[in-house]
Amino acid sequence: MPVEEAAIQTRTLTRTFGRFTAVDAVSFRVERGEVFGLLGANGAGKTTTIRMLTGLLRPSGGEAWVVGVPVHSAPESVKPRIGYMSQKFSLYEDLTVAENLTFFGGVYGLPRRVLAHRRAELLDLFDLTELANRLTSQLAAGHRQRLALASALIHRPQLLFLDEPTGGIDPISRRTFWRMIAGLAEEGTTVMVTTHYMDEAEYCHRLAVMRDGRIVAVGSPRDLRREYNAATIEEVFLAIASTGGGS
Amino acid sequence: MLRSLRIIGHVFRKEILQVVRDRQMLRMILIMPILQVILLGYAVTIDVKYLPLGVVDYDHSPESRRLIEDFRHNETFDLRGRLAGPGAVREALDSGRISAVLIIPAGFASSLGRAEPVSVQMLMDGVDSNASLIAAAHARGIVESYGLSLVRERLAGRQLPDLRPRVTVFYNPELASRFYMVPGIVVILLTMLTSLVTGIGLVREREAGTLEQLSVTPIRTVQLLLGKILPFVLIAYFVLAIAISVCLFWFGVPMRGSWGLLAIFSFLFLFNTLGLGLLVSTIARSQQQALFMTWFTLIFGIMMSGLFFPIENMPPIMQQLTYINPLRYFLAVVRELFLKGSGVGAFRLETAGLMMLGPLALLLAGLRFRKRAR
Amino acid sequence: MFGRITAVMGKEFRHIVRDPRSLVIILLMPLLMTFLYGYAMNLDVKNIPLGIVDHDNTPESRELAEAFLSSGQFVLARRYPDGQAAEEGMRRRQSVVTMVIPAGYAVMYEGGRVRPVELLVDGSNGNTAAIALGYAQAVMARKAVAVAVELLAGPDIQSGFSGLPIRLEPRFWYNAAQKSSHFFVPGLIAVILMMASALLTSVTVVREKESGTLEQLLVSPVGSGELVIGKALPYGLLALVDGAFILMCGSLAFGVPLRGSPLVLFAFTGLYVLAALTIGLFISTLVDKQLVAMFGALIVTVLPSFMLSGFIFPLRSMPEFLQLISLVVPARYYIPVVRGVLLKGVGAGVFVSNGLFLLALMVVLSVASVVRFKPRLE
Repeated sequence: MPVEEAAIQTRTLTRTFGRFTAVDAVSFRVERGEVFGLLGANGAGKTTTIRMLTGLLRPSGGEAWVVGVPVHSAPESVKPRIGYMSQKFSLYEDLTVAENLTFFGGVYGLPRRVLAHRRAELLDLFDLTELANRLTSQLAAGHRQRLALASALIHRPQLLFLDEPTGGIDPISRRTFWRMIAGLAEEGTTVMVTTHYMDEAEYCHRLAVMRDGRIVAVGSPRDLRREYNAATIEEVFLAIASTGGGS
Repeated sequence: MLRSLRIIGHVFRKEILQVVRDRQMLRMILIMPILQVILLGYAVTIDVKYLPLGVVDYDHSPESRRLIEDFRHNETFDLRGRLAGPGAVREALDSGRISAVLIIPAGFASSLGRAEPVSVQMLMDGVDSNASLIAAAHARGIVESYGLSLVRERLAGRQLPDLRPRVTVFYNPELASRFYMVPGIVVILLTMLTSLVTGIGLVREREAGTLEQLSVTPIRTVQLLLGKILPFVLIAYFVLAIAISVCLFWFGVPMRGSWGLLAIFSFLFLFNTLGLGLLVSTIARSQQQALFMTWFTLIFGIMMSGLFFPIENMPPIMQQLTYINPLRYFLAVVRELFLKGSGVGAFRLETAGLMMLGPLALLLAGLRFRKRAR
Repeated sequence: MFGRITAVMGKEFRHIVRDPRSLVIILLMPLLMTFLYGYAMNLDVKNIPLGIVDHDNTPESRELAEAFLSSGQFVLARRYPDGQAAEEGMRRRQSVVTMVIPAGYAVMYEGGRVRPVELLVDGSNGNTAAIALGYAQAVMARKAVAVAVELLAGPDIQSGFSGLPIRLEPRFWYNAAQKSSHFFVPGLIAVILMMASALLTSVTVVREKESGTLEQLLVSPVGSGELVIGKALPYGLLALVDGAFILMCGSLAFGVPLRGSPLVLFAFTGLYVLAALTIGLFISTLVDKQLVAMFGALIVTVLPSFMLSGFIFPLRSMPEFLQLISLVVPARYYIPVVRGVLLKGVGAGVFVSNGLFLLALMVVLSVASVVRFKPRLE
């Protein structure tokens, strides 16, 4: 199995905190250009999984290749090639929109000309050009979220991690957001996303449902609905949650 | 290499933007040095002056009045008047209206006339042990020179050995304690500002979650820390310039040494305080904790620096402890540079101390600060 | 109303207890400072390093040197061959005072005139230098008298004196053992109380501003007065614990007495803490960043409590404008009370005006804070 073909490939990826096992021997594969959703209740291990894949957290066991880089042994080398947007939209509140983009681009070491070009491009793409000189603290939640996404994309990552990206956002902004994600995927960016919103799960190409640190179901939304004989992903989710059983 | 510099440059620019944009903070950074140097420059005097003095004169003789006059003409004491007796003395000292009472016994003049030695008593409010000790020494001086003049009068016409010394005071002929304190206050100020601001900066990023955001970028720990430190080196020099201007032009402290040397030692010292700030920020979990920890170390550092209290007076163990206090070294350098204009040769211990402690703090901070996966 | 206040207080207490690092620092700080002040802080000038240049090198010149070294105030730093070497030694901080005894010094003992003894003083530390110089001159004055008496002790001499005719007998009241800890501990209590109450309160309120939880509280039915009281009181209590801690350390380690009434001390301390809390609250209504609050509180409260209160530096030696500023520093009024009660054992009657001032300050500031604290929507 040629590893570099997959965007993400994990093998019995495990993380323990003391005696608590947050992620328990998880193995899965995400193809390039896929929008891959990670579902699960709070504490199911979604965020821990993402933190391991982004090199923020060292795995206690198992292996994970992200865009061909073994993050279990070389967590730093994956960083130039991935983008990450967390649930908190971590931006500098006292910098303007443009300054935030410039800073994050600069941190990725983009040359000045490339950076200027890319910044203009993203401002335009995310409809933020008019707000470019506004302080981030003054932005509405929807705009902030878009800025956070733009910051995560400034270096054209091959793979984008989104950890509950739509918390606290109104439905219209959420829909716009997902349209952008779909556009990214079409251009070949792989997206891995965790979410609470079951309707959002429908936007994903494939889904994995986590429970107690394990993946208990994987498949396209349609396959999952069929397998659990459900009308919506929400029903699938409830069914899995209530059976209480692993695979 | 160039790429690395560019990344550091971006962090640098961001920090500067944040500082400039924070009006309240900026005002604090600008006003604090001037205010503090002026205020402390005047407040920090341990000169014992104008100690309120009361007198109980049981003798009422020309001799006793002459001694009282000698006290009146001395700056150490401020003669407030006569007290009637023991009750008044107790009341005056208890209430704190009077800090010292000179008691001249009955028969003072007649004893002196018979060439019998006499004692005068001085009751002192001993609460301020230092001031009362110093004042007592001054009082003894007044009384002894009165005695000496009596002896001289009796021996009028005789050739007496003259042991009055010729005094040459170097560096600070007026013996102004201000010249010694003010440059020291500049040091304290620099320390407070740089260690607090850096310490808090990193913790604030951790609280805001931006540190995590940075952790998923390829930026290296060294680049991040340098980018965060350098703006404050710049700001520190700026504040130093303001504070030193106040020193020179307001207080008229002379600068006899080399500006270059001052700049270099400041640089060495800044790595100590910034290193301390960073070290604190790797330990503290919240801004509040960072504030407390820095404040805690600062107080320790200031007290053990020799600024207010001479190191030679401390117990030996504490004297040993001061060797790990960068403030001690920089303070010595600044004082000696300003007043004596000493060269590098005089600062071997200080150079070694600053060069060892600064990098050590930075190293510890770098080790503790984990951008990398846990 | 009390229910709501207790709720806010309870929350604040939980904040304090759940942050053991801060708590440890808050409790450790007074301990450390008490010991630092008690042991390390000695302003007295003794063991002054004395340099000696002896161009005479006779028994008489050695006797003069001996007079310095046996005075208890000077220790021999080094002997130098000449004045130039002595100056270089002073530049290197080897000596504070250097005595240069001229050649032919001994002639003086036979009534001859000689060049005077030179004293070279390192003036950079004005204070130490002045005191050291005073000591040196006193040693020489005494020596002069001794020589005079010896020289003139022939049969035809009628001065009658066999030494200095007058002696001064100092007696130190309230602190007979001359312990500096007795002086510092009361002031330390004032500073620490100020730090714990003003600084902590301002930082904690501003923290809630920063995190947005203050807004949350303001939309709740908690009135701003209740909120203020609930948030401030726990820190006041913490401050009192700190104060008691210092008192205990001072008493156990340094034997600082409590001669007056504990009740008077407690009453004034309560008043002082309340005043400090209102200052902290007032600062918190003016700023909205923790760091700024910290700096602000340092400048407005802690620093003046150190510098302009008579804690270490006597107010009467300061220029008038500083003495005027000191009139609004609460510690200035509190420290004399603590010293009075602990060391002198005086009653409350002496301190009525001090109490009134603290009370006035508290009232003015708390009204100002509550007015500024009113829930406002932007």
